Amino acid sequence: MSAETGDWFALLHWAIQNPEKGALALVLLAGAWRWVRELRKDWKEDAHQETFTEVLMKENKELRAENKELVHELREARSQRNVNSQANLKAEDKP
Amino acid sequence: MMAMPSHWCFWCARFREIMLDAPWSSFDLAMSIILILRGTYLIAGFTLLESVYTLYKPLAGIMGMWAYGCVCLMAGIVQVISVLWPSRPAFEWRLFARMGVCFCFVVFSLNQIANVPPPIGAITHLVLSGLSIWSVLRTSHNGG
Repeated sequence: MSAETGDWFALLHWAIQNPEKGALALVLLAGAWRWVRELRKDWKEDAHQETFTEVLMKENKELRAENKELVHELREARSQRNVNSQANLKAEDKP
Repeated sequence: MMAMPSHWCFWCARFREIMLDAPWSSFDLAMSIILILRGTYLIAGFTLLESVYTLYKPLAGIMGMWAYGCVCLMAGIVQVISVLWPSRPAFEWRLFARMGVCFCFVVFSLNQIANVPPPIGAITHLVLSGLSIWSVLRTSHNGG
């Protein structure tokens, strides 16, 4: 029997000989493990939520920039149309 | 030719579903009823357990059967309140209730295993304590 197996056997023997201590240790270990896992899960979900907000903000920024460009293009097109219509009017006025 | 999954796969999947996803309220309720009855039995002065049954002598030497009765009764009451509560109680509360039940069953299970030879009830206690440990491990915020 290896030393490691002997240690496990000794631990098992101790738990069986001291049922209430063994049970308490086991229950506390299981409960703490479950609690820590749930806390980690919550923390991960929070972190994920943060990145999701960041993605939304980034998308919002990009859409705003695109919107700004479109407005600029529209204004230019309008001013160009005005210039053209004025030039046409002047051409019609000439005898 | 398409490979057909064996029946073992379906059985394993079903077992996995029961252990991980199926509601365990009936198990919790059964455990709480057992603990309430056991606690009442011990508190009611059944000193026979200490004096006659050699199986329980090691336990009686540690805390006394009355103390074990109180612990079992308290754990059973906390668990039955947790199970019968109209809405799902908080995660911490459910975890605490299941830990109490688990403690009681593991104590009695270890005590029975330690007896030479172990009584036939040791098998029942071993299975129930194993499932109660699993019930602690599968407790989660969103059910389980």
